[in-house]
Amino acid sequence: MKVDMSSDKGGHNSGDMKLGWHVMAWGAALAALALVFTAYLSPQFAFDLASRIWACF
Amino acid sequence: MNPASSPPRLSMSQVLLCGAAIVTLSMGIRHGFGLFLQPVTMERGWTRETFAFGLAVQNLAWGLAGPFAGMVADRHGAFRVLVGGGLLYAAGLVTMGLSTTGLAFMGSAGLLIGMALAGTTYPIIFGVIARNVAVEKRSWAMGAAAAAGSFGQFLMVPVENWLIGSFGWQNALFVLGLATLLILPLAYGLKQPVDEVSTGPAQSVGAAVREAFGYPSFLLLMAGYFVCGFHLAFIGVHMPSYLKDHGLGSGVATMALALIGLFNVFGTYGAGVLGQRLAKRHILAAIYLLRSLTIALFVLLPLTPLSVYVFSAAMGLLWLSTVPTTNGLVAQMFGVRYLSMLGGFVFLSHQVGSFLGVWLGGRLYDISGSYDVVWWIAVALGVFAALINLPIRETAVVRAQAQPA
Repeated sequence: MKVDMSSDKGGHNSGDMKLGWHVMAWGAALAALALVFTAYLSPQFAFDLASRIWACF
Repeated sequence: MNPASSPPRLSMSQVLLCGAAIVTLSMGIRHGFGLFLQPVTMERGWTRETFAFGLAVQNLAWGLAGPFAGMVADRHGAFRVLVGGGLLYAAGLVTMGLSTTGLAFMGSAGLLIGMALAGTTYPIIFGVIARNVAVEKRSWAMGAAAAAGSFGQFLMVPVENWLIGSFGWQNALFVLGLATLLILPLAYGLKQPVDEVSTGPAQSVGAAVREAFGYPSFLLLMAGYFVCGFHLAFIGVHMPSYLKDHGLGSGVATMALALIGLFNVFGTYGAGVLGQRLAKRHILAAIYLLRSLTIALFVLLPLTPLSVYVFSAAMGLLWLSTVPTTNGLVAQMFGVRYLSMLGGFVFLSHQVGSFLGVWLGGRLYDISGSYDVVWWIAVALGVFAALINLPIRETAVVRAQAQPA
């Protein structure tokens, strides 16, 4: 019996692609968050920001 | 037809990318305004009250203009409102940099930017999302867009701090003014023909407003959002001062700000995802109750850098997580036709709460010499908000069908 697997293969491929996009999107988002968080940890930035925040009170 | 449903017209990825970029800019730029207090007041020779009054007017203008901006977006499309809002934002930032009197500052930083925010933030973007994203993905999409706004707040504080340090406060405002013009091309991605905007059953603006304000669940939702505004504004404005009073260093306040910003992104997105699976009233009740619990523990336990960091991370998770859930509920109750306008009314309630949170925080501190009373008011309000969200009906309102002649 011949079984047409093309649609099944397409499903797998599209599922893989979708997963790939999800992983890439999450990776990019987490990298961006980590990068910005690192900026907050920079001593120069922390000093500048703290001075400006503290100056308000 | 279920008023909560409408056929999608723009692609979801296009709506999300453009909408997310717009709120990243609009929410982010505004979030760093506190950093301008010191340089602006020093150079202009103003009191802090002059600066603070301008930003207080901005918050009120933002809230008051919200329903009108939403109404225009619902009737004539979000594109026009976003373009107008982007232009007002740019004009407001440039004139804020040029203002030499308190009155001019109030007009630019206060009125212009307040109205610009009403035209470029969540209710306008959520209206487009709700019309173009399938109901089964709507809450998730709103959460993703709201998380972009949270990310903007997290991102723009260091960016604006860098701009001020590198180019001076005035040029920093001009650069930010140019950046807001990016909203204009991004708005093209959310443009759709005006006849496609008015989806759902025929209803006048007045009828929609009367229907919403006559629906107890809408009033309960507004009351809950008032508490949200109170919490965020009180903590955002008064926490650094509270930490300073208790002898904690300025580095602790900076780290607290970073943690709130970071966890806010996760919390906002997570609330959108949960809204797809759980009853939104339960999510909101849990958020408000957890806020009360977190604040109570923060006040009762000894104040240390670690307790501040744990508090900041927990409050960050709960910070803007109310946004996708609250707006999603409005769409569920009344459909998408007047979502931006009704979202604007709910946000007005949030802004009144914000005003009271900031003002009452300062007033009660002056009277009692400590923030203790206000912290406990915040706890009580959180419990109140949790309780009033529970009886909210999440079903669409039942409207009388017009009978054919």
